[in-house]
Amino acid sequence: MSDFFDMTGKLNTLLQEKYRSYRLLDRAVLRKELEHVGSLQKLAPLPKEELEEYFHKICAVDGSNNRIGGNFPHYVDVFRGCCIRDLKDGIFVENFLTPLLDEIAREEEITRQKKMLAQVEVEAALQALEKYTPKVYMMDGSLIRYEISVPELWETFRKKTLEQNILVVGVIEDIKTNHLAKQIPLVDSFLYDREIMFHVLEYREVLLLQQTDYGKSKYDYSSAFLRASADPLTIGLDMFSEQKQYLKWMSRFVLSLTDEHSRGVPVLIDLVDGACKVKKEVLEQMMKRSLSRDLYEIFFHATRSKRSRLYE
Amino acid sequence: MNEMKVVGVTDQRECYIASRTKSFRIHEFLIVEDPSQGDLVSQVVSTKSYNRFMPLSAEGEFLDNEMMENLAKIGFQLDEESVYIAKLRLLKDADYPIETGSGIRMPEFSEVREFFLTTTLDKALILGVIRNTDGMYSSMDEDLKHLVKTFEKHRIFEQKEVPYLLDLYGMQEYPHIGIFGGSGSGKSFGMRVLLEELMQKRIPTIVLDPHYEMLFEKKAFENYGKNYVEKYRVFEIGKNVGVKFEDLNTRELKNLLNTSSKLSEAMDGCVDFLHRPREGVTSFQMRLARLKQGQDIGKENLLKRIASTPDPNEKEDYQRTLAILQKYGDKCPPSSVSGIIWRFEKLVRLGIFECNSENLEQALKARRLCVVQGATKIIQVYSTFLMSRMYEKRRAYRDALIDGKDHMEEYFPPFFIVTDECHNFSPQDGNVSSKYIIREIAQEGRKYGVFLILATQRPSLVDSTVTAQLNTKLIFRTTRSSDIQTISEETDLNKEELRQLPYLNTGDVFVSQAQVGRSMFVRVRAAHTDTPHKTHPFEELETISSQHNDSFYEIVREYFPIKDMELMELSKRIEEKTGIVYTNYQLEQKLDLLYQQKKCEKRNTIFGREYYEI
Repeated sequence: MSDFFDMTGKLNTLLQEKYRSYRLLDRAVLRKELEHVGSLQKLAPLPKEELEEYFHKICAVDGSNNRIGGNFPHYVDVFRGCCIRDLKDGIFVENFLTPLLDEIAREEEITRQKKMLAQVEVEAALQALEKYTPKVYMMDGSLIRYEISVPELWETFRKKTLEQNILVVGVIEDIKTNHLAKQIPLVDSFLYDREIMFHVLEYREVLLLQQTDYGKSKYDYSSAFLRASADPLTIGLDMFSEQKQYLKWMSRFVLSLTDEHSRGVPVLIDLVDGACKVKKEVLEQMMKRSLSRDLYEIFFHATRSKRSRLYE
Repeated sequence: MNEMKVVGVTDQRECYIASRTKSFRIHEFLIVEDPSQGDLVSQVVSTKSYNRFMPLSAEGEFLDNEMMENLAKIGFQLDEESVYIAKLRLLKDADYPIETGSGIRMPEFSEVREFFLTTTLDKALILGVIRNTDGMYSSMDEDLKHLVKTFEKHRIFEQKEVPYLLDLYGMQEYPHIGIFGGSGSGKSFGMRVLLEELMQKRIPTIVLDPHYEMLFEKKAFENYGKNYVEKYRVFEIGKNVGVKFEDLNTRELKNLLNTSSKLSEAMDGCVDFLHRPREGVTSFQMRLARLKQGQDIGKENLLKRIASTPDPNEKEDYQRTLAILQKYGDKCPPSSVSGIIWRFEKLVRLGIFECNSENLEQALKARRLCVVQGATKIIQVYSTFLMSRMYEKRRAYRDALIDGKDHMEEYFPPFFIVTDECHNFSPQDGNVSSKYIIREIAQEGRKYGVFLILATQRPSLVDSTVTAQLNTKLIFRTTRSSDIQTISEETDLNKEELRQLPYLNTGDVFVSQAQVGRSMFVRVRAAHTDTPHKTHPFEELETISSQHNDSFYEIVREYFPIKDMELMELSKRIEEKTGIVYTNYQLEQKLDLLYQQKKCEKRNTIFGREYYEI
């Protein structure tokens, strides 16, 4: 055990050193630096009358997947994409993959998974265009990942939404980018944006970033960092750069839907996430019903899942 | 359309149901549409509701109102995500467990009629309405509508629920009613309504009323209810009702003496010797007095006095005393005689022999309700006599009827005996004389058509053999745990209902009937009449004292200005004029009071205080 505490002692020292440069920065100084990167603004949520105009016109999109089985290739992945505009029902697109039938090589496991997940989400969103005629799409996660995973489908979606002036925003809970460090000389380059932004913004403050092109994608996306709750962490918002002028409005919109005492993520994201889930029990039932029982037991019933929860 | 369904695990008696749109009320009646067993009638026994977006735990995120409103504006109605759950119990057990997924619907009155109406209107007492049955009002028979009104939240409401009919004729098989409830629970009004109903049917009834409140003159509300003036008579013990000593047989006399204090065996025997049937109070008193006198003086001394006294009247007097002494002296020890004397005098002082009970008997035969008023102690004494006497008469008549000898026996009607504070008349522990007659009537009364309605705040203190015989029990709000325990043992109230007992509204009652085997949740109807004394004691204090002050002021004002030193003089003058005597001290006090009430002024002079007009 002493080894462990030795190790954490060393961690402490290392991290302190590593982030010394950042920590030596005065918050006010850092905020000043950020002004070169984008515009810092204090925002108010949208008035209720304005929200009323969007009744049933806001679609939240999310995807969920679940796996039954064991090691590669003896498993089945089920994917569900979901697009909702109220709590009563929604558009669901389901699909599934199994390496046993779908010719997936071991190396492509993860990418295939990501691809299918993105696919069902965008398909659900596309179906909603006609069925729900929304004015705003709120997607769970950054928009870039759709472009990377399902470029053609995403193009279709992008075109249609831009044509019809439908706003699309991606809400990113855990910011994974590290663009800021490159732009702010004072800050160490190995710091992620998430860490840099910790407690830098005030509640209801947004940093609208200037730069739109990050080299990774074909298209430009404009983004913002928003602190939508009392929690000092910020969330990220992505929009098509063609819709850049709405980024501020979108930030206000997100503020209207985020509880001050939550972790900072709009409630809609949690709602659609809940609607979307593929329940393990349901998946098991479906497999057991259609597959020959002995085959199910051998290939798909993971011993781990039989573990009794008594000891937890 | 059908938004309610059976959910979860079921059995053949109970199940849970859930709905997203309709909330449930306890005691509501619903029909379970079981696909294989058909329509099953059920009642809600407990209810819950929850919303998954508003969880109870402190961890996790909690949405504030602002957020809920904003979400609702864009289409996400979180507050509509409430789920309402209820637990149902079938009125009759099914053969198989209820099918999960069965639909639920509101019943038509005809489907549940048999559970409510065990009798027809003319054979029932209309106690009030069955709560939470408003869904069935419209499909109900017309003659059941507009029968009663209820009084809630300080106003009168028209009937909108199924009426509760207490089966009167059913008492033949399931006799006697118990009324339990704490103070302020509506118990007295429940009793009042029952009595009004009995009067409407002209059922002969005796009501023991130690609180002087069972009068039916005063109407409770304008333009509501019936008139009862001709239907009842009031009797006050000692004034217009009592025991006719001449009518007493020795056994009854002994019972009465027992109410003063229990007779010892010796005393018991003495009374047998001393009492002559059909004699009057005075005669009996004299005999006792002479015997005591004789025993006090002693035989020898008596003989001496007889021999020595010159006065012939005195001599005769002593001779009489001697005769009594000789007849009874050996059989009745002096201590017994003393014991009998003070017991008897106690009765006499109560005034119980002042009148007889003939008028009451006539009133009963004329099918009236007889209210017997008097202090608790005297009522206890008299009621023992009355109940025994009336019960005897009825029994004699019925027995003669059976033997075919009814033409020989005088007619006596069936009747009810009603009393509040019955734990005083029929206690579990303690030897009160009324206990035994009540017990006998509780156990045997059914055969003869003599029925009890016993009310109490303390059911745990009532003789348990009697409680067990009360086939219908009206249970109002009860808070004491020992009483709730008794109620749980003696009635068929289920767990949830028992838990509700301390929180019932005034006037709400659980009716537990042996006849039905399940309790009803009822609201007693608004009484037609009201109790006579409603003056508030503290208001009375204010009123009276201000009256006194006014009259004093009138007397004294002509004497202003009044000086301290003149009080003696003033007191004399007032006495001469009005006859009222005030001491100096009283005058001082009263004048000060007038000053405080600003009816006069006061000034301190070197000679003392002076009071003068304003």
